[in-house]
Amino acid sequence: MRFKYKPLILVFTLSLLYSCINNADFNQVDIDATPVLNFPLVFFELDQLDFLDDTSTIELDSITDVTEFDAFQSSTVRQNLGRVDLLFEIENMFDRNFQVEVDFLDDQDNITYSFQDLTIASGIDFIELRESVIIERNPLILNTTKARITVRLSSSSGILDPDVEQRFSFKSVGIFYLFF
Amino acid sequence: MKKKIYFLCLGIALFVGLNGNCQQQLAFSFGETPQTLMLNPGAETNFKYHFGIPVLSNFNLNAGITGFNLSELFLADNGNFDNKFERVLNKLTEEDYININARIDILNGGYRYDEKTYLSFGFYEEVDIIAYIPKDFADLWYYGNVGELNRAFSFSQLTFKADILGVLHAGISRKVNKQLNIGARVKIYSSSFNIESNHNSGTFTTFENSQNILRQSLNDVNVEVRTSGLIGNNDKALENATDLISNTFLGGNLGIGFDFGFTYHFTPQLELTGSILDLGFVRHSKSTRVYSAEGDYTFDGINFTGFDPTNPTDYWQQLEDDFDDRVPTDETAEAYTSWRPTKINAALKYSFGDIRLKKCFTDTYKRYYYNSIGFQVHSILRPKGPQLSFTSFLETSITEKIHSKVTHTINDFSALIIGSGFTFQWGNVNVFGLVDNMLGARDLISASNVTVNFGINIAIE
Repeated sequence: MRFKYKPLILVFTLSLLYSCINNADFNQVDIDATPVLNFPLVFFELDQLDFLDDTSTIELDSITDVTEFDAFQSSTVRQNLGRVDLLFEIENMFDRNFQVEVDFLDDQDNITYSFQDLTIASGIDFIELRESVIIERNPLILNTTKARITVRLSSSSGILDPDVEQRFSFKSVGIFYLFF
Repeated sequence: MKKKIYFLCLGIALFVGLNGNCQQQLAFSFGETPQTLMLNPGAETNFKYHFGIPVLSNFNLNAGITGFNLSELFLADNGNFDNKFERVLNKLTEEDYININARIDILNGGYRYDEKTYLSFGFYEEVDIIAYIPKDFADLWYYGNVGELNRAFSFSQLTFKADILGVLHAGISRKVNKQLNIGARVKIYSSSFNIESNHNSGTFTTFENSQNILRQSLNDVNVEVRTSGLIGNNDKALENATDLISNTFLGGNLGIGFDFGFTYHFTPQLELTGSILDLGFVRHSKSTRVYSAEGDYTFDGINFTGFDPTNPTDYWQQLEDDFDDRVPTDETAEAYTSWRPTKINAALKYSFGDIRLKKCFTDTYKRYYYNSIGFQVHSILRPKGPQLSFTSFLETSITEKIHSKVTHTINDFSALIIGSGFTFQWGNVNVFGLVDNMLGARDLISASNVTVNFGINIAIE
């Protein structure tokens, strides 16, 4: 018995001759990845003692802390960052208002970007604030190597009572918009 | 004895059948070509001797992708490439992979030692690449982690392996009795390049937290990437790419492996063949680098505790030191062992139709049937488990010198892979060629896989 399917094999074989990459365009590769990455940044909690000197008799109108912040020194970030947002969550259980200043600094402590001062009224148990920075309009921000936060206590006729517990909490997240 | 062999064969078939997914080796059990011995050292041969045309004696290329095909990305339809890329990315899973295997014979020969014994030997070069899609980190790279609260981006998806190596081999095929033919092959591997990473663990997760707005954590991270052949002894990267070729000639990292196979005739018309190939390893001790990271880390942000400008706290340095302590990274030049991707083949073939007689190396004649049907299974052990393909086939002899095979294969890539092949004997010259995925060959970018295999050998019968 001999199969009569040889023409089929011929068709298969001939079809190979027509093998090709039809309608392909390998030059169109142009991926615009736009990842949005968030990272926790600075957080702290203050109480009434943080605004009094060691003797608890003199009130400090502001306190400041600073940290190195090298996120902008990464070549990937420097080359591809289009925008950065800072998201703040603040709780103020003091009976005073606060003003929070967030500044980015370069190596020489020059301000590379200053966020709008955050004014927090007394007795606010939660406030969420967000500020966006477009890198193209604020290229100096890429020189940032430090972050500084100053917390100012509004003045009052009396000074804080060291025995009355009051609380101020600050939380922040950085949201980085990258464009590859 | 018959029962034992039957159950052995059944066991192999079941093992192959029960384990996973894969690529195919169409030439397996496609007789009357000397190269069959490379897929089954226990294949029957009728040659007095054979030698391959250098470089042309056997060329095999197999390329495949799962989860998408190239036309979804590269079709010239004026569509937005980002949209296409997103559609593909959203379809992919961590089980999808890209696989490329190319093999080229440099030298191949064989010699009949006696009536029952055929010896063969040779040297071939092989490039083998498999990379699973690290879906989580592809998403992280493309979309970021915003909107992905509580998603655990898994390092276990980081699985890939690439090899360039030369293989020196020698095999023996021996007829035990009228029904059984067995064979074995020993291989010396010389790897000029290897990079691999598998069995990684750990996750990266972002979630809401009361301490700060977000908390990020690395949980139980254990990641290792091993490579050899890229960094020279002078700690400089490989400068001359030709070293990748020259080191395959026994100048690279050496290993050893074995092939075993058999052919068993239940009746003159019913034949079972099976083989296990590349049961071996390469020991990488030269030009190696092993990169690793291990540990757990939780990051809430930088906690300002000082507010003392006269005595500032170096929070950033504390952060870096803490991270380095908890997730230490390492780079060493230690030796490591890389296992070869072992393959298992089995085929059951029933022959029928007209009979032709063929004079063998002795003055005896062997009966061949013009037609046969059957099925074969092929499995290859990959880093995430075996990959399997199942093929049904029909073989026929167009003339006494021209034999053909048509196949239908089901595997990871597709359930409709039509293949065909032929062998052609012209005097002492044996030519064979096989193409899998004929339908895809018409339009390669729409195909999820393609296999091409051809060769020219001189076979003296």
